[in-house]
Amino acid sequence: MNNKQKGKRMRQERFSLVTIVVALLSFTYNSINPVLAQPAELGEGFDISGMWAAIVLEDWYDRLPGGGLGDYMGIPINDAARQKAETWDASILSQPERQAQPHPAQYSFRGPFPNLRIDRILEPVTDRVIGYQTNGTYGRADRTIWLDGRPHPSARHGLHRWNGFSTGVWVDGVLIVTTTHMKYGVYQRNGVPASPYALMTEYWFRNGEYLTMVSYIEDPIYLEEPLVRSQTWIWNPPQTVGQREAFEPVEEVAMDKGWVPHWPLGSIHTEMADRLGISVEATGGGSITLYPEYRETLREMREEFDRNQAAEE
Amino acid sequence: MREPMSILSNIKQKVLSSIVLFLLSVMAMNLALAQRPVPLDANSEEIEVLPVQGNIYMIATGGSNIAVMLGELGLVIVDSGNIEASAHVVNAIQNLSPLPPRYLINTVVLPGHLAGNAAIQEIGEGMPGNAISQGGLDMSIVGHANGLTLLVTEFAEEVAFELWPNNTFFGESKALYLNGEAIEITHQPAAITQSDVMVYFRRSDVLVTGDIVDITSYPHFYPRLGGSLQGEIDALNRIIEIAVPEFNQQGGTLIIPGHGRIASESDVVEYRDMVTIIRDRVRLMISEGKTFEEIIVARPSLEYDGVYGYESGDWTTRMFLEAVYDDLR
Repeated sequence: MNNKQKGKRMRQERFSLVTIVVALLSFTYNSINPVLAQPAELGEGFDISGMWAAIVLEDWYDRLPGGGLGDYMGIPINDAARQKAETWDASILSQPERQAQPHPAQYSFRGPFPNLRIDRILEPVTDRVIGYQTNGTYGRADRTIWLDGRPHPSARHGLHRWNGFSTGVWVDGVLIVTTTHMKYGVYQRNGVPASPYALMTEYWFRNGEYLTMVSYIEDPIYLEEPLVRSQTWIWNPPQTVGQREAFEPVEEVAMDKGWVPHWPLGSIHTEMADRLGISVEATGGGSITLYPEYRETLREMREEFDRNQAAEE
Repeated sequence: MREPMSILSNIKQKVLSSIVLFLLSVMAMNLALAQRPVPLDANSEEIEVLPVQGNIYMIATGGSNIAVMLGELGLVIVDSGNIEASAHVVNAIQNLSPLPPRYLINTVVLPGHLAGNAAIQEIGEGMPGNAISQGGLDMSIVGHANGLTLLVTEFAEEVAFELWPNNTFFGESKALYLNGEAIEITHQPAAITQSDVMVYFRRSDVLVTGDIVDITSYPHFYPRLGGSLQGEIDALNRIIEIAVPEFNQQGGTLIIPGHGRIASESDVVEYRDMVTIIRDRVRLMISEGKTFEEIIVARPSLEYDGVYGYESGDWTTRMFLEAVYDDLR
C-alpha cells in the first residue's frame, strides 16, 4: 500500500468515525424522542442554575467581533444560504422594525460571550423545578427550557419566537434540550441565515466547575449537514447579570418607507479571503470545509496565491 | 494469496460500512424532523384550532385561516375556509361559543375564499335591529365594494349570489364595534386583487391579513383582478405600520395570515424584505435587458425558494417570478 492509498484509507476511516459519532448523537436523540413528553425526574440531573462566566478562547474572533464579511468558514452552508449571506447588508439592522431585534436562539449562546444567569422556574405549590430561564444574552434573548413535559406548539401553525420553544430531559446526567419554533435568524452575525424550520438539539453537561453545551442544529433549508458547535462556561458566583433593558427603536436617520438595503445579486465579499491569502471558495463555507482533509486544499490554494504574488512582483 | 491481515482489514471495513449505513438511515429518520411544514391541502377536511390572544381564535383550514372573535353579543368571523372543511369549521365555532356569528368578513373576493360562506351563513344571525341585516334575519357578509365588481364581471357563474358580500363599503375603511372591541376593516386597493381588506381587532391587538401575507408561499397576486406587486408591497408596509411588537421585536400585535402560522411583526418584516429584494433584483435585470429565461437562470429567489417556493402545484416559484417579471416590464 503506497502513501497515497494509506492517506485515502485514513481519510475514509476518519470520515467513518466522524459519521459514527454524529450518528450516535442522532441515535441518542431519536432514542429519547418518544420520552420528550415525559417530565424530567427530580434529582436525575444536576442543577444548572446560578452565575456562569463564558470562556472564550480560540473562538474569540467568531464570537466577539462576530465574523468578518464573507467569512463563513466552519459553517456547512449550502448555495442558498451563501447567496443570502453575500447579499446581506448590515444596514438592514437600521430598519426601525429591526433595531430591537435580539440574537436568535440559533446563535444567542455563541456571542458576544454571553455570561449567563440561569434561574430555576419552580412549580408554585410543590417547588418542583419545572424549567430553567437563561438571562444575559444580547438583546434580552432570554431562553426558557421547560422540564415538565409540556408539548411543543403546532408545527404548522404555532407562533415562532426569537428564543424558540425549548423542552429538556435528563439522560445519563446530560440535559438534552430540543428547540423548535425559532424565527428566521442567523448562525453568524455577518448574515449567514438560519431558517425558521431548523431543529436544535443541545447537550448540557457539567465537569466540575465547567458547564458545557454542545448544540446540534439541523436546517433543511440552509445547511448541507448539521451545524455542531460547543460553548463552555465556568461557575462564577460573584458575577452579576442583572435584568437588562429591552431595546427600543429610535429613528435617527430619515429613510423611505419600506427601505430594504441589500447587496446586488452576484456580490462576493472577498475581504476575509484577501486577508488570509486564500480563495473565496474556502472562506465561503460549506460542509467540505469542515473536515481536516480540506487543509491540503487550503495549502494548495496558499501556494498558488504565493506563486501569483511572486509572479506579480 | 492474500495476507490474513488484509482479509481481516476488509472484514473490519465491511462491518464498519454496515454500521455506518445503519446509523445513516437512523440519521435520515432524525433529519425528517427538521423540515418545512407541509401546508394543509386545499381540499382537505382537516382543521386546527388555536387561541391567538384576547378574544381571538384561529381555525386553520386548507382553504385559508379563519379568525373567530368571541364575545357576549355574538361572533365575528373573518374568512370561511374551504368547503370540504366546512362541517368541521362549524363544529369548531360552536365548540368555542354557543352564540351565533353576527358578521362574516371576507378578506378577498376569490371563489375559493367564498366557498365556505354558506356553512357560516347557516349558523349566523344578524344583529337585532341592524338595518343591513334586515331586522336580525341575516348575518352580514362584509366586503369591499370592489369585490362586487369582480363577482359581477369575473365570478358571477362560479359563486352563488347568496354567498356574495351583502354589507359592502366603498372608501378606505369601515369600522364596527362589538363585544367591547373596535374592529377596523381597511381596504388594500391593489394587493392580491382589487378587493382585499385587512381586519384589525383593536382591543385584542390581532390583525387578520388574508392572503396579503401567506407564510407558506410567495404572495399569489392576480394582475387580471387588480392585484399588483407594488400594491402587495404597499400592503405589507401598511401591516408593519399597524403592528407594534411588545419588546424584542416579538409579541404585541399578532397577525393571522391567509395561510400558515400565527405571526408577529418581525415575520411580516422578513416577508416584506423578501418580496422587496426579489423585486429589486428582477427590476435591475430587466433594466439590463435580460429576458425572463435569463432571469430564471440567475436564480433571483434562490435563498427564499426553500422557505416559500414550490416546484409543482398551482403557484410555483417560476409562476411567481413570471408574475413579478410581467408586473415590472
